[in-house]
Amino acid sequence: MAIGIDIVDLLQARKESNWQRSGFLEKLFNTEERELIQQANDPERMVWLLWTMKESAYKIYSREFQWHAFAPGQLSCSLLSISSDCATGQVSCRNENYHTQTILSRDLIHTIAFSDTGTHDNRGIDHDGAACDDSSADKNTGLAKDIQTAAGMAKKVRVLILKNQDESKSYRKTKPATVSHHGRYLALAYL
Amino acid sequence: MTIARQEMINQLKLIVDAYTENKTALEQINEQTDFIKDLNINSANLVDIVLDVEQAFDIEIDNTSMERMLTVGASIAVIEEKLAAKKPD
Repeated sequence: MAIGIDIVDLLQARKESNWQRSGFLEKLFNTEERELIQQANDPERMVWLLWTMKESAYKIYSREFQWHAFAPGQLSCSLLSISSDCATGQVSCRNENYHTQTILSRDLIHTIAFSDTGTHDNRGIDHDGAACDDSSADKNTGLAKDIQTAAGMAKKVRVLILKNQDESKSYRKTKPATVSHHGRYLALAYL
Repeated sequence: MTIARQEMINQLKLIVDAYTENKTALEQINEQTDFIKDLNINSANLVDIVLDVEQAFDIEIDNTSMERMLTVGASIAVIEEKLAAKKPD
């Protein structure tokens, strides 16, 4: 099973990006995705939710097919479920499909994408998966999370999200399968 | 390298400056420079570079062309194509 992760530090995103800039959304998102953003209670969070979905799926695809491009239009997102603190969805990239689970908190958005290949069939992510059980986790300090993969998958994926960590530099010793860093946060995924 | 190309690199350098902390790498900018790998630019900021380029050169960059814009050289190629397409003859 291939995974890809992507984290956005919302404070950092506010400093780095002006998503309301003319042309910004049009270059990154298709019509359906822009509708989701327009209709969202919190459009900013929807922008970064969809962005982390695309990024995490792109990381799997680009690794697998040695394809490097700035092609957000080739990745199409659809949401299966969304609540205040978690979301599940699907991303298609060319002929490949990926399932995604996202954790949303006040300060960060983290998405993990799974490739379709592997032990499970195409029924998709269990909407009541453990990713949605993290609401009690401490959102503001260094937080550790266990995210369960889709129903039917043999393995569990463990995701660790660290804030302002000095250990950031030594994370390689822990042999994560993949890493995402943005602003104050470092996300590590272990298979 | 033609003067026009060097001039384009200089213009790109001015644009990219807003999105990179890695000023040492920026000083070494050349056609091989990769925005993400060499300049540590956040991938979400690539769209800002594309939008800034559109403004600076008064061109429109379609999605297919945008896909290639991961390096300085590829970006210059796209700019040249779009500028050439703008000319009436």
